[in-house]
Amino acid sequence: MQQFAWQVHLGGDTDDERRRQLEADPRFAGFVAERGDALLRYGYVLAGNPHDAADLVQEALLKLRASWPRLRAKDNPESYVRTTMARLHTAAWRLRRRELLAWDPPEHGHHDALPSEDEQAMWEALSGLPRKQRAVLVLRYYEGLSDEEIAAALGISRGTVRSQASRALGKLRSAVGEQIEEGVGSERGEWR
Amino acid sequence: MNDIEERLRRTLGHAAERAPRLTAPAAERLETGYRRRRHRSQALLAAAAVVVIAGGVVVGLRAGGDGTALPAVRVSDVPSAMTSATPAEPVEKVWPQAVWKMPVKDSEGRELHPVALTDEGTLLVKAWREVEQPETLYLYDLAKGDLRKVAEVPASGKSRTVAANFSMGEGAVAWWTWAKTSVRLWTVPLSGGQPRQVAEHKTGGDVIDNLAVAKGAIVFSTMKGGVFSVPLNGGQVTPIERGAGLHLLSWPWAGSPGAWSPKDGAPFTHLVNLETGQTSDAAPAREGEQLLACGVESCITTMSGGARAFTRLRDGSKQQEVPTGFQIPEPPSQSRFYVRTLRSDTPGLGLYDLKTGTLVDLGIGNEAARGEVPVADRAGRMMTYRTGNTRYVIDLSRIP
Repeated sequence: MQQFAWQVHLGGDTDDERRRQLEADPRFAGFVAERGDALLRYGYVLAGNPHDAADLVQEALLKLRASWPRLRAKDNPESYVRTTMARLHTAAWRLRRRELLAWDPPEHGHHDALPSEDEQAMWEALSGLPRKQRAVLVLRYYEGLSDEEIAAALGISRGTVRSQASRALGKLRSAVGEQIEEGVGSERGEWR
Repeated sequence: MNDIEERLRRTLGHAAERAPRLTAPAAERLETGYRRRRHRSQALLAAAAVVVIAGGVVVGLRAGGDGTALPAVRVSDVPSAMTSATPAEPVEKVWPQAVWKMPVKDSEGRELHPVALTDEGTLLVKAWREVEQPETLYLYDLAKGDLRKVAEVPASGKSRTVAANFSMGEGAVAWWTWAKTSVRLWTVPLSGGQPRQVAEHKTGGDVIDNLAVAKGAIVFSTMKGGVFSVPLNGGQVTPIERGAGLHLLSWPWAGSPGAWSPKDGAPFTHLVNLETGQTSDAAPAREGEQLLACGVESCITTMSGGARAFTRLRDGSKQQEVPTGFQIPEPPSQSRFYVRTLRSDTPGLGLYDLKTGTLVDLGIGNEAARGEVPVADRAGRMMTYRTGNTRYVIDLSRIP
């Protein structure tokens, strides 16, 4: 994911451009239709629940909509939205404003638990992490970003990315460890 | 990748499959929401534009106005920042008397965010580590550069809660915090001390949309409508009769629709003076125009398609054309000041004065690409932004 470069499009001074800024943009609608679900998946792993996921997606898409007339061909709206979502999440943005986006459970039905117990334990342990740590892990292990890219996306230093990641992994280790000691004995020691 | 990392990667991948799916028509709803937000910004803009109080009287609300004829404005008369060939001069050079610079952090490394100017040359400042979770309130002496602590903002339990709408008045600062089904109202003397929870008000999840200190009380309104008051020293939260269903704009004015309910029309076209009962209804939009929002003093309209925009007093007089193309629908503070882009090739923000046609460079360059924009206080008197290790505070009331 490359850092979104803000491009100010000053052609917007013509009447035509101005009008475009105020009118519904079919390209925006197309982007939402095409990428909405993927963004919601990303929001879900970032936030851990469908409500906050929808909030994050909505907020980020509204920001994208506002910048849309200034986007140029070389800008990547998806990376803009993803960066915005990660930043919103770490900014402890919380007053619920979901008012626009409705969501349905996934096609195969909404399961209460992940198929495997160790993944379910991991998912629950993730919910105990501070937002920034969770975001760093999601960007690294879900988005597959390098630490440098994560630093750029979250607006923090590379050192902070590394320290947050290692602290988060440490917490997961001990949390998941406890889970396993309580329950799934067979996996004990796997991660130690 | 070690085991825990591999397991994490798998978990996230599988969890993503359980994510909800967007239901149609998401894009249309976002489009609606986007417009609503634009309106809201415009409402804030209008609200911030109009707090011009002289001797307790809001200037500009005299019904009927003074009968001034509307000036004819041709598009070519409108100074355009976009076509300007001469580079804009730095703000501190053009308006040195209005520009203050201050540190961006306190001694504990917490970011400082100005809230409002006092009349004594000080600035109320909140400090936080996490965005919108203020920990400490300070008064900053602009001339001396001293930071004096007013109070610690209490945290609720382990985690900090969002504390919002810090407002000053009658020697006190008031704010509210959110507690899921209720709101808590707080106050502390500006001279310093321990914050006190004045009241807790059950709202069933509704939140406060504006708050002020007036008449020895905290006056606030909620998103769903209704103006309430509670004595600063504590006591019962009581609804203000004249404010039923209304939203506080700026004491003593409350009105409808609220800034958050523009589907009901342009915000604050209807206003009520909560003290006297005087009402004011904005002149309807002219043909071919649409009212965007109103404030205590003026309203903003656009022509269909947004090709041109105008501000006028609530009675429809004193028209001024607002050049479109300003980058951020930021409050045109003091009815005059708009944030605009400076250059076509690189990021950069300027401040445009509608009154004189002056455009100054705010010194926000690449920071603009990261979303740094000047933020105005709710009275529209002050604007603040950060560039590098300097925080700028612009006292707009000192610009002649």
